[in-house]
Amino acid sequence: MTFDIMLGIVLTILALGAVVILTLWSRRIIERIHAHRPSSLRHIQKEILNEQNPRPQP
Amino acid sequence: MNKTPDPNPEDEPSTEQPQIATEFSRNLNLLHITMMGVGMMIGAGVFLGVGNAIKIAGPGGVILTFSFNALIALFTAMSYAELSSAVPRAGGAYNFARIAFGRGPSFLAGWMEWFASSVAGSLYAVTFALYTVHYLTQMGLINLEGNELFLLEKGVAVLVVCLFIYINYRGSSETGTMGAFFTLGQTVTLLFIAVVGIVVAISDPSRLSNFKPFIPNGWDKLLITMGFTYVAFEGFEVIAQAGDEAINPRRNLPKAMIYSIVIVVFTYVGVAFAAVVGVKDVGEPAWIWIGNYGSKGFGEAVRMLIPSYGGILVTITVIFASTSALNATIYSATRASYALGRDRMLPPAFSRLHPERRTPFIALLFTGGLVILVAAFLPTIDVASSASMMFLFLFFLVNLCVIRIRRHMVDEMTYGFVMPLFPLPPVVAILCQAVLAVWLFHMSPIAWIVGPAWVLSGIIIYRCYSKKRAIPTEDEIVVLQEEPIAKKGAFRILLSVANPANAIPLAQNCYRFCQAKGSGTEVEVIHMVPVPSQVPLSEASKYAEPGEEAITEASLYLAPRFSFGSTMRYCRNVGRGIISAASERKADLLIMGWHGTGKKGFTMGSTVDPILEQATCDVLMFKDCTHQKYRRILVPYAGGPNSAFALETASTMVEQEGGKVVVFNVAQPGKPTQDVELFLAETVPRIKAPVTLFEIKYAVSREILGTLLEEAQDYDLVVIGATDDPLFRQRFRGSLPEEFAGQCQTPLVMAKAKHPLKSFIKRWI
Repeated sequence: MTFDIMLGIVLTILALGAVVILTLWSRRIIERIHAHRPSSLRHIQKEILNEQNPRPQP
Repeated sequence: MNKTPDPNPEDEPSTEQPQIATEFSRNLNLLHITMMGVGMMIGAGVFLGVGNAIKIAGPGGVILTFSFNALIALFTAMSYAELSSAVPRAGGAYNFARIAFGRGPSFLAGWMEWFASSVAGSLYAVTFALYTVHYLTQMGLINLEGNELFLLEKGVAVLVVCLFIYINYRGSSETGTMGAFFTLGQTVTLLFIAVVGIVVAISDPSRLSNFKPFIPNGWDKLLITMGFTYVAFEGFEVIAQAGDEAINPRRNLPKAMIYSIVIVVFTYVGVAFAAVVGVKDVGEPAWIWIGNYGSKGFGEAVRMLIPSYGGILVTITVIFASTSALNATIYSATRASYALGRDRMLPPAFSRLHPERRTPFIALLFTGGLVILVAAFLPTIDVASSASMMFLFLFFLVNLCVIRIRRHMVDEMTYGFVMPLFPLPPVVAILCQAVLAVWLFHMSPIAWIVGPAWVLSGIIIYRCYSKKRAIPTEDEIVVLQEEPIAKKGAFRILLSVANPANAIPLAQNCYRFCQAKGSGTEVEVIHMVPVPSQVPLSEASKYAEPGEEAITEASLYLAPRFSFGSTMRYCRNVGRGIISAASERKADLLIMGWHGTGKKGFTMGSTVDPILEQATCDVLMFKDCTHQKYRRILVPYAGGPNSAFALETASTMVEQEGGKVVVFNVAQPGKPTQDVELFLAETVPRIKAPVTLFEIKYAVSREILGTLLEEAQDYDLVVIGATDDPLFRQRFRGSLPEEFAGQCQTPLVMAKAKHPLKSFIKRWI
């Protein structure tokens, strides 16, 4: 297998993999936003931050 | 939902009877709109493109071409998805540009969108006609040559356009169902070809040797093939047009855009793979054999892959593909012209909906005429290249829009989707599309003549017709009254007054800066009328009275002494209005008041926060500054980027006889203090202030904020430089200057100097 073929396969997998990952990531964001309700960017960013750093339960 | 507004009641005769508003029906579900996007993408281009791409880039290059293009297209699709979820209305890029850049660019966006989609539609109609007539000839049903054959092909093209105009006239449900039916047909057929290719490769692995050499002509050829096949990924634009007709558009539009890219890229890669492995025993490398057939290479390869019925399969698939793409492009072009008519950029007849079908039948009629005209009379291939160029321009504009709207309207839009990794996707897309547009010039120089010519005609129409008639949208900033200063002098100060009570103190403080800057200084007083979202903008004048009084108060103080102008505008967001005015007026300094408390979730307030972050000039924010004289001024110094401007401000405001400016640095125990002497040695000569005006004071404390607040009590005024941290970081991590400003009981000025490069970029984005 030549270098060109190996590089080509790696680049194809990377590009298609990035497409799939970004699609799944975007789908997750859409579902997360609509689990609450569509709102302003500030609120969405805040909610994402809160989910990443949840407050300790009393 | 989206009722047709009546913005210019004086233009139309008033009637006593209430008008019945007609609106689109929401019939299109996620499958419908996804298939519309897929249909427009697959179109007919991929069948013509695979053979040519293999010829230029080789067997591996064609697969890499589709994979890379999909990634770039996905970046733009994410911009479209985010904006469509926030502005789910027919019009697509036109709407986004209207909100981000105003009327002129938005008209051009809609104008280009209309043309690009219409001409792409004519290309699909001609492709349909060519393949259908070719198939009928092969079947022996017709036997024509020369002009007769040419006329028959043109006639079939016109007939199929008429058919799809009728289908679009019938209504969006029929449009979506027909589109979904045709697209499903073509996608299933193409996936079948891809599966056959994979099965053949598994059963006969020797066919994989067709991929040697992988990139025979060099890696740089990828740019060429990416350039001319990129148009095969432009279908998400039609999905944006379905905003008025999609069910749950904030959720379904972004999903459909992203899904359509994934479906299409795997289909393309699959059929390209099948075409390469389909060739065997031809006496020369497979890629050369396919490439020699050019546009027909894909069909010939599939015929060899599936000898019994490969030829008819490709013919049927092309017919499916061209008709579904034609359907989608007519739909998209009609909605683009409808949106222009809706906002009176084109005659209002374009926005008229059929009372029963609820389709924009006049816009459809004109769009159909344009498609027929191009299909029947013009050399379609070169004009279609112009359409591709305009799609690239459009995508370029949309990527700019998403950046600008996020910057300026962060709290005003309701988003159903926000893209990950912002701003990387739009920035990468802009750069890649610029490269592809340049390469398109190498492919078709005529595209660089036809495209700009259409844009020029759009500019003329906008200047002569649309500019005067366009109605303001809910997001626009509208000038109520204005007395501008004709020509910009040496230094322009924009004084923002909110009410009569704060007008005089601000004017007094402004007076000091006017004096300091010399006789060439001019002052423009601005008042933004805040109109609540539930009140129509047409009622805004009721909220203008306090502003008129405030401007009068300020003018009494400043107008006799300096070159003076005033403006009063209304908008939904005061902060955005002031930023826009400062940029438009090319102000050097913005002076405004601050009441000292911020809304929950903001650092200093919903108006002040964006101004401090986004203004394109120096900003001074005055809090409780009602004194006539300031004898002792405190300037806290911690080495921040706005300290020099704070020092300059303090030296302007302090009493020149007997006054003192104290530069104060607080260090934490064990940490080094800032070198205030060096700071003064560098800054004082530049601001041309006497050295004797300044004193230095150091303190060491664990509690910096408390020490500063305690020290501030002994002064008449505090001048502090703002932080340069982005707002998002300030909101979640806090910022000492802003916290201090909120708690300080002494009169305070917050200073933020402009950064030349950042200001230049902010002016445009």
